Amino acid sequence: MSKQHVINMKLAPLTAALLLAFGSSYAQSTDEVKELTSPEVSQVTMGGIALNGEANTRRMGQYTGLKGNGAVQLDFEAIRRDEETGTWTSLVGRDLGLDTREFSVSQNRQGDWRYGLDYNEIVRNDPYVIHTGMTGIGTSSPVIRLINRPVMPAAWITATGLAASNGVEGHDETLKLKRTALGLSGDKWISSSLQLEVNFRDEDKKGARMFGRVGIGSGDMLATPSTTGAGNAALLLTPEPIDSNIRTLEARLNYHLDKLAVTGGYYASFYTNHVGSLTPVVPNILNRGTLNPAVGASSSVQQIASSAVALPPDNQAHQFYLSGTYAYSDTTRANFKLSYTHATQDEGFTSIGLTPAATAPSSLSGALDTTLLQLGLSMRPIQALSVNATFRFENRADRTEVNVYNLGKVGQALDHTNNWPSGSQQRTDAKVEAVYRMADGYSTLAGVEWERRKYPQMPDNTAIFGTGGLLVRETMDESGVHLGLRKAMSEDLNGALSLEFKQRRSGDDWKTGTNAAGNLVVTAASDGNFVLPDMYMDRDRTKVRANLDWDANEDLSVQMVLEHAQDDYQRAWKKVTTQLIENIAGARTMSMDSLTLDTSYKFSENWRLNGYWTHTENRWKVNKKDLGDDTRNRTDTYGLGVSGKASSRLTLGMGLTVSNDVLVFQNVVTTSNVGGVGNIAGWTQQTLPGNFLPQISYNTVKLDMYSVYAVDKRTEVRVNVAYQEFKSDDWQWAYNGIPFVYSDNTTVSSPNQQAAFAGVAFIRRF
Amino acid sequence: MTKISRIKQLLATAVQVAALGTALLGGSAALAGDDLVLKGDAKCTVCHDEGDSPGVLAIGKTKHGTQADGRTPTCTSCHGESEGHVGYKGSGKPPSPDRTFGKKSKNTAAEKNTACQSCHQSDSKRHLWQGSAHEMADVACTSCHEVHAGHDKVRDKRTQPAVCYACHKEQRSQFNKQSHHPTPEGKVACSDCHNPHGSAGPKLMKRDNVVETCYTCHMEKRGPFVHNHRPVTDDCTNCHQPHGATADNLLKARPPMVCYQCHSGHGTPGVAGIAPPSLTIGKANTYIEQARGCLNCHTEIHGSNNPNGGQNLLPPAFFLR
Repeated sequence: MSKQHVINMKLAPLTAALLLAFGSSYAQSTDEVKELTSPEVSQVTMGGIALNGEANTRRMGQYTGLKGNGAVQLDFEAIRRDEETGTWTSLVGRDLGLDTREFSVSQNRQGDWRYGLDYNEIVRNDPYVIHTGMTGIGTSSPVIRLINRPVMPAAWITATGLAASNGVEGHDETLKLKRTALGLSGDKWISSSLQLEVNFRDEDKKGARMFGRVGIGSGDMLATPSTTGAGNAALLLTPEPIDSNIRTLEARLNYHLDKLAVTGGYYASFYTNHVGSLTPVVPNILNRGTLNPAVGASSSVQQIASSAVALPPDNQAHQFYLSGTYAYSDTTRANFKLSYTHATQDEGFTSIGLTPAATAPSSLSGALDTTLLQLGLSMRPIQALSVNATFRFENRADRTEVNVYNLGKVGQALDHTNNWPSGSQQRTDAKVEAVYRMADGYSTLAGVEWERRKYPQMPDNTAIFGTGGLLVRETMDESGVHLGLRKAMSEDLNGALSLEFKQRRSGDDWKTGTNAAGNLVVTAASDGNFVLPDMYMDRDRTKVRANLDWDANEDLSVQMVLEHAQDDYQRAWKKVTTQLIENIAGARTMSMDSLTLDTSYKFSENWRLNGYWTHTENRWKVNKKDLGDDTRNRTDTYGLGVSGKASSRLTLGMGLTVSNDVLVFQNVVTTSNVGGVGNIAGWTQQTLPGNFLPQISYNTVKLDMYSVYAVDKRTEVRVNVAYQEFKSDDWQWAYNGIPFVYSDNTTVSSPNQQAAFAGVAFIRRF
Repeated sequence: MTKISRIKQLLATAVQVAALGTALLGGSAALAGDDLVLKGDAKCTVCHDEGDSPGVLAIGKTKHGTQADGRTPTCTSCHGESEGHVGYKGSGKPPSPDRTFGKKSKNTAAEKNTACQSCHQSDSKRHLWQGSAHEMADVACTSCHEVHAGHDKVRDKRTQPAVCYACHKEQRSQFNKQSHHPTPEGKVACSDCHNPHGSAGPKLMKRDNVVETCYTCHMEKRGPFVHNHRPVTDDCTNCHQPHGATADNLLKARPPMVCYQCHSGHGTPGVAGIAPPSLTIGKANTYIEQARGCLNCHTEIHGSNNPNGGQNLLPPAFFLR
């Protein structure tokens, strides 16, 4: 026997043994790689959910559909990829047992074609409860029925003079809106440089939402009001019926070659409303007695309250656009977008239950054309410096026909008035920014920007708004500077600071319209009851943001963000005859301050904790004719999450969010109403509680806990337990036990809620 | 022993040694020269294999891992040829690849983005990336996107908000308020309104301006109407805070306060104004502060298409019907 033969004989059993033990490991690792790299998924989730009743789950179920006593959970997902052709096939269904179900199917051959179909439901369950006698909610003609007077202290019954109960019980109603959408999409690479994309979406929206209906004083409708008193008006909650459809179609042709990429697109959108007007059926006796009859040429309060309310009309828009980018070099690139949109609204008035005025056309013939041009240029002249310039011009031209509408108060100027197509405006923006990266990890940003807004001359509006009226300006210019500093202080610590200052001014005086000679005018007197839109006011804007990001070690990271933003509106100066009079009315200061701390901590190999706290203060200061309003909103939100593996089979997790929101109202009332032409000395700070509105708080707690147990490689059991609490002392619908009462004795409530949820689901993979 | 039998014995030895080597190397399916996931990845996966870097291989679960697509990149397409890293023979930590994308990467955002833009710049939704707010803030593609993961959180509307909240803390707080878009509930994603890759609209609006973006879902507000309300046609955010608000209907402040931005209104608010319900319904007190505030009467606040009063009915010019 040769030496070689002896070696082979000794090797053979060793080889056989090792191959037996480890030879299969090659096949095993191949399987492992396949598992790590294969996108294949086949999974079904089935389970049940228990909830603690409708009354407790209205808030939790507002958008989740999780309300009532329980639901079925059903999800599935199947994804395949054909490795030979690179074709993906996907079938996904989610929340199939709920009102928020989604379903999608798609196929995609990468680099070649794709098509997809998706179905999606979105629900909104209004958390308010309406106690009413109304029937036909959600239709175009709800029927109003007077019900029993709501419970309230006897003293208030006397004070309000509400009629005694009529023995008719009301019932509870909740409003709901549901969107059901079907989408079709596809794309095809016609060549390696040319691609066609098409998306179509069809969405129905059905339900009802809060709305209002007033019928005010029949005598009030005459030039000289002649009747008032208990029967003078009716205020009703008549929910808006929603039965509409939105369709959108977008097609894009994308071309790219070397340095150029360009897209030509068409986007069409159509809105159809199947309910054109709301015409409630109103009885002549409500909770303040019989409604006032017609007086002279006026209508009775019942007629007024029953008259048609116009609902949104059908409309449509077509947009064509071209966008692209061109790389002049590796360091210089330009981009652009050009678009034109033609939007129209020409719904016939009579077809939707509305009566045109005697001299008005049969439809509005509304049209709005919008043209947009945006140009951008980016350069890197040296490695450390990037410069970017952007120019944007948008012109909205309201081409709606001007005709006579409004048969309003007899003998007053509202009788026969032109409409005012007010959608026109022009915006021009220009911005230059530069970022310079210095040594030691510093990076600085500096930018300047400018915007001009132009609004067209408007017709004389004194007929509608009276003397003093609506004050507008034609041209607003805003310019600003933006500075930023970023520093990578170390591998573990990074920070950034940014400052922004902007100033908006107009060279125009405030105007109330154009007179017959075509000149812009200012009225000689002001009764203080004017409209002073803040979008025309001079304004100073400041924004500061600072953030720090710290990785203390491999396990702990902390992030801090501090923000301050403030708008200060300048006093409006109005020219009255030969002198300027200061108006201190309108917006004053709007501000936001926010501090956030975030942390993430890995406290063992298997467990992680994360938490955050955000404190925000918003301030809203406006002045009106005889009131200074100073509203502050203070919000604290806390979040805590823990997740990890308790064992090789058991995963646990918990999430807690607590939010406290407080609204504080501080009013300043002038003791002498000088008609809005401001006199600061005449304004007197009120003392608490005085004339202040009571503060409001909202408190929510959301706790979610889950566990997932792996029965085997293909099966898991998931248990979820959740608790949500909502508490508020909002006086919007009731205060001190006295409800806000509509004329038919309808009331609305928003009860505090404690919702509990428990769910068990089985997850099976195939 | 004959020459042939000697050769046979040598061959048998060689086969057994090779088999032994294969068995002993059975912990790795990457024999020298074999790609694991992507074409040409062998020089990387010889070390970064399923034993060393299982997370890295997850790229195979994504569109970036579809080998049948000729456009699919390989490791070095994004990370660079990295000869210093691949050829390192020392015992310590090798030098980093030419381009890395983690938090501690020495590469700038622009350098990282060059890798992605080499293929994705031509996408129609990314034409306006240069000069966009995120690009100027040095946000890298990988700040939001996970390439080596089967599930890219930012591309799933249920998990997308959490990615955005990493920087946008104020919006996280706003979505916790009682009136909000159903974004925390996974029904409306941030990318339904914003295009984070650049846009011709302000605040990265998906369409060219704020109103056209909102009309995508709220098209009933588009009009135009016989009676338009100027701040509505100008910009929805004149009155609304679309992320979340304390007041109903996503209003920045409740009526009448939100209306006082522009209007002097009528009636005097205050504590007395919210109780009790007044005998005479009118333009003051409880009727301007409780329930729907000004909208109790001025219900058509977004505009009214009513052409006519007729018989002295309420003037639609004041959005009363």
